[in-house]
Amino acid sequence: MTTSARVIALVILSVAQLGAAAWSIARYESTLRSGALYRIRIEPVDPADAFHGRYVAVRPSITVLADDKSDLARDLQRIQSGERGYVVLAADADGFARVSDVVFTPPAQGDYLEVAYVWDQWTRETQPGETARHVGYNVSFSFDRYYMNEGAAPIAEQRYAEASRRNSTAKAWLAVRVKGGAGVIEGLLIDGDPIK
Amino acid sequence: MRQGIRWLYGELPRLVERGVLTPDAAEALRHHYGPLDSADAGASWGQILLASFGALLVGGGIILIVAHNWDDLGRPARAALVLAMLAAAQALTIYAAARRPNSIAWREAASAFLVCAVGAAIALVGQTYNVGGSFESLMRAWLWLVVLVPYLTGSNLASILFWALLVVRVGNLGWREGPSDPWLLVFAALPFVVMRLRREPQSWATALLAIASAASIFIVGSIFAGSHGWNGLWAVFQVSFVAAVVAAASWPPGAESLDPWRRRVLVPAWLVLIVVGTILTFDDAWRTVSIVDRDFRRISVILTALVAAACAVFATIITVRLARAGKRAAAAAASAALLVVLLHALAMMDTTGVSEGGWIAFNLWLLALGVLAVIEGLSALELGTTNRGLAALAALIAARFFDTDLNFLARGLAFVAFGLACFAVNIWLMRRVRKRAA
Repeated sequence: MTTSARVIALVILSVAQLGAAAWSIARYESTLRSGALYRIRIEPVDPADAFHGRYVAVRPSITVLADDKSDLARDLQRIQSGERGYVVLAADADGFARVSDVVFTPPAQGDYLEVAYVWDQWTRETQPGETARHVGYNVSFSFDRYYMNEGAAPIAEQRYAEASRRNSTAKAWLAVRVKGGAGVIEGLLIDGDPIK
Repeated sequence: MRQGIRWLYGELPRLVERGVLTPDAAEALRHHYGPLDSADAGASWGQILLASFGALLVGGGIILIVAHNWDDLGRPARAALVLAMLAAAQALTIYAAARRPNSIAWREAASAFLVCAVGAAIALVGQTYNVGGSFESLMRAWLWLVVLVPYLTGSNLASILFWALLVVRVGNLGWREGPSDPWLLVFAALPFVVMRLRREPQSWATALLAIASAASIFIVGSIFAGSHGWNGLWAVFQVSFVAAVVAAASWPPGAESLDPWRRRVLVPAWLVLIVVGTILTFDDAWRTVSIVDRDFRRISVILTALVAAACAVFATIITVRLARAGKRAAAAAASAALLVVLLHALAMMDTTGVSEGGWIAFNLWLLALGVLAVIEGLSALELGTTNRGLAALAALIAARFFDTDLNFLARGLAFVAFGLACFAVNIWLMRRVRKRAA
């Protein structure tokens, strides 16, 4: 390959590399600007583990209460066993996301997200002598980190710990914009207060 | 090599002047060996390493600075910073290719920086938009965006980085992930290694690249073969692949003395083959092969099996040729591929204890390999071949140390005797070699 041919090929490769980065940026910007807004609860986390200094391990998940014999449960079990699957989202009265359907190809319409993991949901509290019952599934997604300035992360950790002390049922959730299968975190909120 | 070319170029004018060469012939030689940049051709390993290390540090430093997640910078500013960093790395690489095509230091440093910059750009976009949770998608995009860099820049370091990243990606795959594209990436990147082996067979950098690519393929195949439901496929893949590497490094007979990369690759490949072969001398390694647990839905498993089969065919063809050329030790080593495929096939169909034959056959194979290599090494006065044979015998003895009922005294005496024999053989052989040289 001559030098000029090599340079031309490098320029083409560079355009492809820049194009890939720019396309990702454009897609996420578009999602943040015009995507549908959902709230997704994040799993209660141990603040000492969750705030690593540069990001918060948020672990967003939607709980699906479903009978084991239902179609929804069967579809979630297929994803559990390794199949790629997507959840179609709908919002409840408070704006929290719920799963309206499980599909195995990206749907042509509606807001949807690819499922990263599905794990079983058991009854949280049991009486003495009672065994935990399987009541459904938790669906989680790939966007599981909320990046922060390394100076701000410890402050966020402290706020979460204080909120937990004040109220043992302190709720944390993500504001997520969803568009065309992409989910982009817009913010992290603890008891309604945004964490930045 | 470069020293030789430098000397040749110095001689050309005199040879033309004396009529030994025509000016056209001298020009043809210059064209054949390519230009020699006086400023950079003599770049020592130290310069190249420093330049490459510097590029990696600069790239890493920029990543950390941007990763600080400046509060004052909005999303657009951070996105622009990411694109600017990538464009700067690309500009340096294009400059190196256009203006400094003969400078190894420029080529290696700029290409390594570009490979790092692409990964940094993807990761920082993920951080800026909080979508960086999927490590697999980051690595997939990174590898596909840099797989062509070595072809276009000729950089060994960029290629070595690629092979290392491939291992990182496959090593971090989840239990349910078995993508096919790591094998496609291997097929896309391997021709560059072959090209380097043909163009610069004497270079240490070529040998390092060959070792890095072979190690990467070995690890990638082993992970796919070992983690996705086909009992014993790991052994078929590992033995077939390493036997194919040994075969490639041993063919044609005598080539290892001409092409240094063959010798440099042969020694580690031979040692890995001995280790894997030794593992297969234990009956535990064969116990689960007959259990039907093959997941043909995973394309990565199918591709791993196909790669193993292709390696076995290649190694078997070279085995026959090496045996005909009288290279019995190398032929014995390469024959392990056919042996493992046949034994695995028999063990898969086993209903009557045929799988017992697997570990017995590999005990015999390791013994034959050791004996043949020692005999060939002693008769040809080759220290390397002799020691490879001794290593095979030592591995066999050590393996049997664990599963024989002999008492410690007997086993200890056998070890001491074998160790003394190794020393004696080496001393005798070195004296013979020195005497022949004198």
